Amino acid sequence: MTVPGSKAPPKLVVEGLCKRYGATTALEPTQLSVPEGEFLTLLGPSGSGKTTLLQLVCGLVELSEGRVIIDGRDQSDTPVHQRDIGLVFQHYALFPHLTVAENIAFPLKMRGRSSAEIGKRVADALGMVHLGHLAERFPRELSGGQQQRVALARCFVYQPSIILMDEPLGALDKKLREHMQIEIKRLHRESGATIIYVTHDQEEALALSDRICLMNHARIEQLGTPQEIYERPRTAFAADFIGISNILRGTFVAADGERRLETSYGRFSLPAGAVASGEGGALVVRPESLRIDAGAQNRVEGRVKEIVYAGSETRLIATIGDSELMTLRLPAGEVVPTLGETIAIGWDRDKAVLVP
Amino acid sequence: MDRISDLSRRNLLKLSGGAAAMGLFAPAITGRALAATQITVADPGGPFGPAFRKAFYDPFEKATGNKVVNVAREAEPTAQFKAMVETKSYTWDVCTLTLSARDILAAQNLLDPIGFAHADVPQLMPEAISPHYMGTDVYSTVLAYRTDRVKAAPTSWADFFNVEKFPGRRALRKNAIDTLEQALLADGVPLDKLYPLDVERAFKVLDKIKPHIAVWWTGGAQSTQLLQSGEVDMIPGWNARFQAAIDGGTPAKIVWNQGLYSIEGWGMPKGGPRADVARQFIRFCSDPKAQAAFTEILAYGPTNLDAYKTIPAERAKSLPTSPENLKQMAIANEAWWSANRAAVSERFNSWLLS
Amino acid sequence: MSAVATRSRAMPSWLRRPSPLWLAVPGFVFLAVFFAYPVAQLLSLSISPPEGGGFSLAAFQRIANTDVYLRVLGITFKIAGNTALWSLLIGYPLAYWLARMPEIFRGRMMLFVMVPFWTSYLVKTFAWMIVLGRSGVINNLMTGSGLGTQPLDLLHNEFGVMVGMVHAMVPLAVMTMLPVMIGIDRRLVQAAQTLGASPSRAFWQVYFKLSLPGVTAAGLLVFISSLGFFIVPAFLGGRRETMLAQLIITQVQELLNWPFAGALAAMMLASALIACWIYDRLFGISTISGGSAQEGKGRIRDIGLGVLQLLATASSHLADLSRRVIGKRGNRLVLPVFAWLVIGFLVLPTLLVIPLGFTSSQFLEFPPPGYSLQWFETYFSSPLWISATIRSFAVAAATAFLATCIGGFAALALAHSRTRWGGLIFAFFLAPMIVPRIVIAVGMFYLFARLGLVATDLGLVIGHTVLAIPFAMVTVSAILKTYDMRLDQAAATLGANRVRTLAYVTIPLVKGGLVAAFLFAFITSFDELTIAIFVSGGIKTTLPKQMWDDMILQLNPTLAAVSVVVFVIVTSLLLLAERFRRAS
Repeated sequence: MTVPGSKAPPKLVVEGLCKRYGATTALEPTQLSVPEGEFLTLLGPSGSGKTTLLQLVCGLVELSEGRVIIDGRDQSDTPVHQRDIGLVFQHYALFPHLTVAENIAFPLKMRGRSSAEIGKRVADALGMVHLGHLAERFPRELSGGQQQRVALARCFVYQPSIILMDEPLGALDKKLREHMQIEIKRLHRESGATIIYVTHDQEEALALSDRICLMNHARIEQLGTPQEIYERPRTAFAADFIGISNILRGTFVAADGERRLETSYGRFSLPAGAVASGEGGALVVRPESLRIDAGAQNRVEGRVKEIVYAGSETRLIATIGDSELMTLRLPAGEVVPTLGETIAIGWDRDKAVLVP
Repeated sequence: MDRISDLSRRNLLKLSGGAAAMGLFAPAITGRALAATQITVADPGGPFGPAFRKAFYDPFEKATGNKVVNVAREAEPTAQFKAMVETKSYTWDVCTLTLSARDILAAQNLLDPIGFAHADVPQLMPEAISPHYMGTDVYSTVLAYRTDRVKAAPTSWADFFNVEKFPGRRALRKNAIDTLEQALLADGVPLDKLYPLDVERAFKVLDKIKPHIAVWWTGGAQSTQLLQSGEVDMIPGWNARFQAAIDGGTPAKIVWNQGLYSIEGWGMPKGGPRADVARQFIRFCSDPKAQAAFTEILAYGPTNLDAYKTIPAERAKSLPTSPENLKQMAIANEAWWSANRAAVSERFNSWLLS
Repeated sequence: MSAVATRSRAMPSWLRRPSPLWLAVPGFVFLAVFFAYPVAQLLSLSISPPEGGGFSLAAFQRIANTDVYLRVLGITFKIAGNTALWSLLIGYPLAYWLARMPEIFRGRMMLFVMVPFWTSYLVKTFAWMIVLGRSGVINNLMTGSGLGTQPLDLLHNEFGVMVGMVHAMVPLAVMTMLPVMIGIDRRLVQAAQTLGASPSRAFWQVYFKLSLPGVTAAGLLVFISSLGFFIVPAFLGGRRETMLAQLIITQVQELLNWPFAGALAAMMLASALIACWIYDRLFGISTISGGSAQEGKGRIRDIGLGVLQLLATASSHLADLSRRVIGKRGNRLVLPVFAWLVIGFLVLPTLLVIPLGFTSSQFLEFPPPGYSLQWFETYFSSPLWISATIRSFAVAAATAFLATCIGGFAALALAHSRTRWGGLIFAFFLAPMIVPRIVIAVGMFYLFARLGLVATDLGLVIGHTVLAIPFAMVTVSAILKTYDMRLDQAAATLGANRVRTLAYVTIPLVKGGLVAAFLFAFITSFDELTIAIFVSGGIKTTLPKQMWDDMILQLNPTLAAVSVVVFVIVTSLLLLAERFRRAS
């Protein structure tokens, strides 16, 4: 696995890539560089441009501006079938008229490989996804999970230079999805392939990715490792989209010789080193950073509205002010307040993140 | 409860009203039925409808008080005749028939006698009357050509079959009937010695012209269209079809020489319920004045030659039975065809394909 | 209460919970009486001697004694086969183009494609005579512009017949292929390309392969429909273009030799069935019966896939070549340009007829020497034409209603029932489509003559309904396939009985399909000639029958004027239906 930011030459470089349909912009001019062997996730709500970016990279959609460079070669005008890119579709896109083995052999046949080689590699690929016994079945005779594994095998079998996956697990149930996540992770590790993975499921993104490319409104919102994005979201959107966030919005005021954030629930210290530019901003505090502490530096009063017991932790939902809700996570063993009780919710100033 | 009784009262009223109306009209209906009968006459339809109406139907209605309703029949109504007689559902009382249809139907005993003979109307052409049939008009299979396209005007079937001396696009009818006769006439067989046809000889002559035939036509209206549009320059066919094109301004001419004429006339389905009035009608159609009136509209020849007493000389020129034209022609022999049609048609079809 | 309970327990189970197959019974009986019986009787005529009674093979011996009937049969099959082939070759790209269009645009384009379908065969045929003739539109344009000096022989030969027949059949081919193509997942083609297949390989080895069920169904439908043609070959054909239907009509109508007609019909039916059987072996025709195509295994499949691979390689070279010649952009224009040309081909004859209706000439000349309304006057003042028009609309409406009910219930029965006889029952309901029309018409005429149904409107309606049932049933079946049966179950759990479920849930939801079935049945009747020739008795004449008489007797512009009137009425009806469909 390549560590992000290492010196390896980038596998994929996207320069000023842009797609417009008439007056609407599906993707603003975008820069992106993906090193070899990375697992990059394009994460975002529907309509954020992640699928467009994917389709531009593989050439299914013609770009309006910019360049797509794969392995140092400009592939912007290369037709789809010559780009040597693998794409795993959301609904698998298995050929219904071909057997499982023939589906997997398809890309090898297109590349004119010898039948001996095809036979061997198809068998290997089937073994890799544990479907050797279903080689002669037709896709419609398989379950959803099996179909997905065939789709993965069909993609990995010809070792494309980049593998793109478009919400491949979207149609599976939760349990199967988690199982397949592990499967994909294993395939990635074993093959060392460069994978660009599209999803709108933030948990999936956190679990799989080396880096996450968070997208919103047809452009990149934030690009970084899962940890970076989770712990240091750069925007309220990023904070809100990934994990559970408590967001407190207000205006900056000067008090006690420092700038603070004035909200309707109180006045809070900013984290150290935070640059408070402009009129106002928002403080993002993760639930696990909150605790019941009447003596904390930053605190608000809240009434316990809901208590959710989740085994390893207990989640509290409290009302602050008139309607705003805050979520706290209490590790197992802490004293749990009763429903309706008024508590003081506090946090260390450096555990919060200031976003515009 | 109220609603039901209300409804039934209204129904009662309606019923009684209906009965009253019936009572009023019933005498009128039966009264007319006693005085006059309505017969259904099947004619060839198209332009025949109005022409027959003017020449025969209206005068007959006026003369007898009976009603004539006319409908268009099939090109060959023999199947309808058969079904009508066999199921005794007489939709027609009288129908126009060609001589060949007459022979087929008479052979299967599907026709009623018309109730009069040649002696009753001696001016009729003798071929036009038989026990089950009276001809009303004569049509002739003749040659027509475009005067604007043909350099040398053909005057006989020999000319039509001579592609070197008389160049031009030719059509023939896609049917053995007439076509075989034309071939034999072209080969020098005299008009009065045509029948029985020498089929072998005819096909030998046809073999020679086969590659030069551009169009094989199948319907009368099509033959008009072919001549009128200039699709072909020379074409054999029925005189009235070509006359229609000429009357419409097509530069074309009819060659009466060596024409073969035939007759169309009335027959009755066997056992029809209004046979008396139908016979009366058929007899009425032998009237020379009525036949003359018919030729004003369509260029068919009257079977009652007395009609020429009132037909203008100019019109008579384009009618098959005018003395000038009739003497150049002969009648097609239906008896021969009735006996040989199936076999000869089969051979003709086979010849066409090879 | 208890009395009711006991009674219902005493009822036999098939009454308490009637099998849905009962819904197919009315249609089954109807077709048995008015289709299967008369056809069987006609065929049995062929083995009874003319004098009646006994058994005779004389009619078949006569067929065997000469080669002419076998040769005409061969010509008939050749023309029908070529028609099917060309209809597919022309129709496939058009259907492909339409399938990729947004739905609204596709709906509008379909109106164009359907224009020839809604125009009488007779009108289309005479329009082609005007276009293709020696002094016709094309030759006039060509000689007038100096492109050629000699007029081309476009008419009265095999080319003329093919133009007329392919023109009549392309809409049927497109309409059969289009639903299959729309159902193909476009992403499969994209997937093939990302896996390294060039566009032409992705097309042939994935898209085309998946569209094959539609192609084979269209091919068979066009082939079978073409077998019964007699108007087009009679008017556009030459010396050799004689089809079997023409000979059967001659035997029935002119020579009155019904046993022989029956023998010819039997020969035609038998060879049509054999052709269907071979076709099914080779390609499978399950899509017509609404079943999903099962992927076969074994040698035939391997050969098929191999052929597709060859096609892909060949067309890939072709695409490269054309890209070099006309450029990438030009290459992309090939399909739309072709599609528009085909639409032009489909619409042209109908458009030509419109000015002819306003001609001042006595003949069908193009361009008209002057304009007048005389032919519309002739039409509107002719009680014959008007009554034929009214009768045609009335008979078509009654037919459409009857066929939609019978076909719709049969489709419902088969959709609900899981009987293993389903395929057989479906085939029986489709049989009127497979049996050549002339065979049905003659058999029906024989039956109707005895029932007193000849020359009655009822006879026409019954006859047309027999022909329309397959169309109605296929259309309703197609929509029921996409219908979620759980909705019926939901209605049942909510307390609706079967009738109420049908009335309040099923029918409103499949309304679109019912309207389509109604229109299909309507036009089947409205354009029907063969049955009308035999059943109308010359009295109850329909519009196509009246046009046919006119075509035989006096080819004049009334025909064009009538076509204009019909064209206007049908187009307005279609637009109304389209609006109704979109509003619902």
